Amino acid sequence: MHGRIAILEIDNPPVNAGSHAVRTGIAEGIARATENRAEGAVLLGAGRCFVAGADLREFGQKLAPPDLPQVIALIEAAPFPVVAALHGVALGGGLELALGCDYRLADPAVELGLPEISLGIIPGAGGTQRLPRLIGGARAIEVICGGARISGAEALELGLVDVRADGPLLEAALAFLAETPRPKRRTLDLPPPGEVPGTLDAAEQRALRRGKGRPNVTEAIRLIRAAISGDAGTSAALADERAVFQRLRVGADAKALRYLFFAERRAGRVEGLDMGLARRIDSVAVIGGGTMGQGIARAFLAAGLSVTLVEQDAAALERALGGIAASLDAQVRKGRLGADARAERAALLTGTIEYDALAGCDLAIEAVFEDMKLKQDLLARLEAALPAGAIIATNTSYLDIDTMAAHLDDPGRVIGLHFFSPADIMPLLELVRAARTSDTALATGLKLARRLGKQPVVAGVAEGFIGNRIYAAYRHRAELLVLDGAAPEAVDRAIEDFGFAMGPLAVSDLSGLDIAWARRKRLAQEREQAGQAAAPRDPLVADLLCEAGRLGRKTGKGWYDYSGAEKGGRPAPRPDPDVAALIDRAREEAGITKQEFDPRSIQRQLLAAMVNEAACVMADGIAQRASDVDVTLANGYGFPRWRGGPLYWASGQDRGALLADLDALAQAMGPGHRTGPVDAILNDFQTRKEG
Amino acid sequence: MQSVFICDYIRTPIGRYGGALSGIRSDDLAALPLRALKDRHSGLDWEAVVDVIYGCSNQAGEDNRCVARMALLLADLPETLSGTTINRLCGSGMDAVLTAWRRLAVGEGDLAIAGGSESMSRAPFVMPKAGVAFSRQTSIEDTTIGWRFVNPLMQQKYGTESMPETAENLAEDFAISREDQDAFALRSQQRAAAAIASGTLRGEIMPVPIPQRRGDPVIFDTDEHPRATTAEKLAALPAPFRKGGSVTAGNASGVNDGAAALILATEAGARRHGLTPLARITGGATAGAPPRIMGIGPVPATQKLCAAQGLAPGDFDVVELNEAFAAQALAVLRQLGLPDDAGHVNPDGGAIAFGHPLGMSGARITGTAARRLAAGGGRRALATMCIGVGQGIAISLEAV
Repeated sequence: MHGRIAILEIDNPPVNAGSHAVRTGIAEGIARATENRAEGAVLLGAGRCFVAGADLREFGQKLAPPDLPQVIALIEAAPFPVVAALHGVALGGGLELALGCDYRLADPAVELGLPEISLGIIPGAGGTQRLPRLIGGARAIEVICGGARISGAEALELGLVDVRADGPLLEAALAFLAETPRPKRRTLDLPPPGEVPGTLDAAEQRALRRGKGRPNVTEAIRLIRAAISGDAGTSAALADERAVFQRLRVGADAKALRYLFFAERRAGRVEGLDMGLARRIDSVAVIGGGTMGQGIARAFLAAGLSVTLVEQDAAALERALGGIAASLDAQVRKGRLGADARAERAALLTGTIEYDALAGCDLAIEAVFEDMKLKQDLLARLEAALPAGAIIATNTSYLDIDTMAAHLDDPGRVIGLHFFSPADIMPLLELVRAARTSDTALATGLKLARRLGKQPVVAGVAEGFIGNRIYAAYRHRAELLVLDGAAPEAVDRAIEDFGFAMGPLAVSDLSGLDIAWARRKRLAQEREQAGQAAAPRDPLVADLLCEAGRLGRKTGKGWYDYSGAEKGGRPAPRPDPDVAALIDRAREEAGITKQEFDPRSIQRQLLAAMVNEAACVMADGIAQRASDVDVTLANGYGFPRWRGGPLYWASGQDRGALLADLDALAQAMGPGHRTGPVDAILNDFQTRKEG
Repeated sequence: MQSVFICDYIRTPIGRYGGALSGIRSDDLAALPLRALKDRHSGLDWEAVVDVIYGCSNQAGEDNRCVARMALLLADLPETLSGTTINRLCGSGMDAVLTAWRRLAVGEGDLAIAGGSESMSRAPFVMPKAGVAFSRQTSIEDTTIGWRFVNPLMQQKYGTESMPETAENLAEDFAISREDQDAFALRSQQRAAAAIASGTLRGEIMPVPIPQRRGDPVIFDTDEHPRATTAEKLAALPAPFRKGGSVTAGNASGVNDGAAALILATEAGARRHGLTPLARITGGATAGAPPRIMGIGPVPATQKLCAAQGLAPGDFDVVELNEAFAAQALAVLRQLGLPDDAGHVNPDGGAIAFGHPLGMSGARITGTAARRLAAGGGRRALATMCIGVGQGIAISLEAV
């Protein structure tokens, strides 16, 4: 107590997660304050934040009372006003707790959000009912369904936070209560603010598109709408919300997403690695200013690192720097970047054609043309130009990093940092640990990934590392399905129905068929050199498309025809009779009998290809753990998050049926096919309870 | 007779004359709050609405040919809905609510929309036809506010003084000093500023996107008329309407643009459509008053209303009195036996601060009073206003 004001401090390190003990503590604090005839209360978090959310570990089981809605009901029923004093973050149940208070006061740097949707659930403690009453339905849909975070400044403007605290939080809260009488003001009693006509519908449409029809998204929208219309009555709407929350909490989506949540945190850890070895990175060099190099530079700039871009000549350098500037401008135009932030980023960027300029860099990453000799020479030049101990990274997507680094004085400095394009947007970063990569380089890479806001996954050296390797197997299966009789659009649709945003053939058209074409030619050559006879069946059609100049969207034709230009947006893929004829011809020439495939068997075969290759990756020790494979596919390859990832998905399937699918896969792929130890991997996966 | 409830209310921010809303056609303006209600209540059975009743006092420009019907079509409400526009000048918006109330009270249906709209910025100039064949005489009349096409007989019988002059008449007849008027005006501004700052009004205001010549529309979401002023500044303003007068631009309401709409439902209707009532309508009254002191109209209207319900003016916990002029509002308060600075009268400020878009104001103050009751402001509310050419109108509400 401070005078007649009760002070309730939540102290549950590290992030004050809303556990059972925390809920009980608040409930008791309110009861005690009532007994002591408090005239007000301040609720705040000890340490670095208010409350970062609920303790997810409690989510799989029955929640012990009091639950959060009960705690909030006590706050609302208290005879005195309760002020939530927010700093750091207030997320999920933490923000719901704050919404249940009468007033909110916040440090301007605070971040507020309701990330429940990303966990397959909805806010279950009044978030869908209270947030729209403070910030309006459209913005509430964006925050709840889109996972948007609200900054302290925006929260003030929106009326989500009543007053800004510049000094110490507790003092500011006490001053706020002392300044003038603060009556009780339940958020549920406030009318929702008016909105620009049409914004609610527009926000709903956007959220539904992004939410891919997941039931938690449609439920959240329905509940937010009920809060806006006020039509259901508040207590009925709260009960409705809680019932939906309880149902979703134990549902399949939520289980898979909780699994991924923990898997993603595990993926950033390496057993036995001393993270204290990580070098401090302030200044980086990016070698090569092509599409990838520019994206990597933007990713570094966004994280506040100073970037030196290196190109071969002045003209190429100018092009690269101009490209980055244009892309930053586009982000400003689209409202994704403020003008100040753009200026800050631009100020961090310099360009050079002299390697001498790299003497102050802590890390250099090359993103030049994929050619072993070129990269070997480049790494040697970097070793000479960089200060001792600086990390040398390569963005290669398939070259052997051991070979690449073999000639250096210290190959331990070299690590693979495999970004995905566009590098500043895509969340995945594969860290490739070559045979001689030092712990320092690895720890530095992991720390850097965190700084960049990327999801790291550690991979060993192998063709395609984890992601591209599994993806290539999946694409190969898709192409063989086409050769054997399935229409390209049927193949794509089958896996889109599973939850992928695009099927593999449409993706190939988007990225260009020539990339995989070059890869096939290279691998064939390598196999020939190594004297390997057996190879999996050649998908034929993809090569024929390339030979016919159909390289995908960039040529207007690929697996599909893109000539039917839609007004405004990108042209939609249209099945092309020329492609059908080409497939028929290839099949006839190869003497293959056309088969019929139903959508389900197409889907199962594509998934089996992924699962099988994932098992091979595990057997080869390329991934540290099975869940890392799932993290890779879910973050970089569009595997639907609510299905957890290929191995998580497989672990939930009937094993007999799955093994039958794998037999069918082996049959279809032909004699060169390698069958992975799926059964053993999944058994191990389940006993570790990674699922 | 059915009990009837106000179940929702929304309005545009009020624009200044020639201000933010002046670029929006009068009929488009009227459609805005309907569209906002439709957005909020997307699940409502709109076909069940018995009528869309709008108040509008001009109707000579883009609001011609029944703006209520135009607005409901422009707002994409079902074309099977009917709409009517009614005119009791400054009291039109309140008359619309009372008319909708009566329609539901007699059992015509269980759901109605009432509201009001006025774009004074876009009030047209109008030109009469020739009075006699081959006449080459003509004139142009401004329809923004006040008398036009004056009937000489009206002039002879009642006088056709301008609205500010009627306020000067009140100030003289009821001995209301300039100081008292300015103090009242300052309170209105201060209360409005506090309400805007605290966000109290956010629930009733819909932001309006204002298209720009280039680039994104600008969002207009805060009443434009209130001014940060001081007693000194108010005292320094001239009184241009009468030599030795006391009515100034600072202690009068403004000439403004805005629109408001309310959802009304019977008890069964609220239940059937899942609406949450804000307040119950308990009665309404209209009365005439001498045109030369038209501003006294709320007094006979309120007295009639109170007499019918066995209440006294002091029985209301919330009073929304439209502030056409400070002199007029003070004359009314004193006649009703309420203090000049009563905290429960226009607690969030009135038309001197917010402005007075004629057809809209009655819907606004009724809706504001209903919201205040719903927020726990008390048991009974009164909203009342004066009307040009000498009338008053009043409505009473009760907390649910």
